[in-house]
Amino acid sequence: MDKLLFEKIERKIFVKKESETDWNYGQDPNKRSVEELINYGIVNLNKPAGPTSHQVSDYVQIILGINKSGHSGTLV
Amino acid sequence: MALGKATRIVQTLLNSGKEYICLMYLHKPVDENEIHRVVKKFTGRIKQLPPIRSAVKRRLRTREIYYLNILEIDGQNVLFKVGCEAGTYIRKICHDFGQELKTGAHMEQLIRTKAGPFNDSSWHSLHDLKDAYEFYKEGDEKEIRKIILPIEEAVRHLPKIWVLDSTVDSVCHGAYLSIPGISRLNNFNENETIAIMTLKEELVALGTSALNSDEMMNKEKGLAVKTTKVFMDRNVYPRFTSKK
Repeated sequence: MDKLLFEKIERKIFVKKESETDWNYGQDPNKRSVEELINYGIVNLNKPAGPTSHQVSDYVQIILGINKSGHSGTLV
Repeated sequence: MALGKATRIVQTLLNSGKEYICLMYLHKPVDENEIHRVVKKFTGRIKQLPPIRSAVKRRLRTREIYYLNILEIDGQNVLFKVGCEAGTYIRKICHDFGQELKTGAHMEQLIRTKAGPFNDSSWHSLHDLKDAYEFYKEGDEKEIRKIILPIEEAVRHLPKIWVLDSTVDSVCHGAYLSIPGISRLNNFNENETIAIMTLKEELVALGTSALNSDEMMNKEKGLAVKTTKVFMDRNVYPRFTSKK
């Protein structure tokens, strides 16, 4: 199986200090509302051939009615 | 693509490994064995001069090619899959491949199949997004939840440190993380990009490790991570007040 560098690393978890978290603060990321996700989320988008990354970024903003989005670029 | 406040996360994806499927066109017919021989020259550490039209300074740089597999050879068309370090120019690989074969070659088509933790098995089209958004407007959020993911998905490939509730807010204010604030940690080296997380698995910030994970386990105080980018809003967690 072909792997990128980080995919070869086995991540272990070490406990430095056992601690509980207080559920009165923050929240499980999977419980965020769709509205929160639209303003603070990630889309793994298959960019169509043709339009530039910037144009696709604009389409996404129009579809979702937001005014800020960014892409991780296309390096060829 | 990152949305709204999440946009600043894209830098970490730019800096992470990529996989592409590329169609290369050879300018003259070449024996298949010769192609397979040249492939070996394009795996491991390679030297690359960025193309004339590129966003970076044109000087020879070294990049790691983790794998380069020929998928199909059809006449002068060569389809291959390549896993590489961030900042590798595939167009340049094709060009240099042609030079090595002494026939010339160019990149015909390119698809990115991996970028950091994201791959082509979970990607969506603009149409999927539009449809899902319409469903959501009509009250069904099942589809859009499959497409728009929490920002934490974009740091899945990074080593992490989980911090105490009482430490979260100081990091939100831009403070460096010190060792007593750590609850759990992954294995990592010094000078790596680290995702600082809450114990609820929320992303707080990104930073650079000042020590490796073993040293952090063994020491009781001192600097652990230099915070570089804060994502969580301030005052989500209570402000820690020292007991005097």
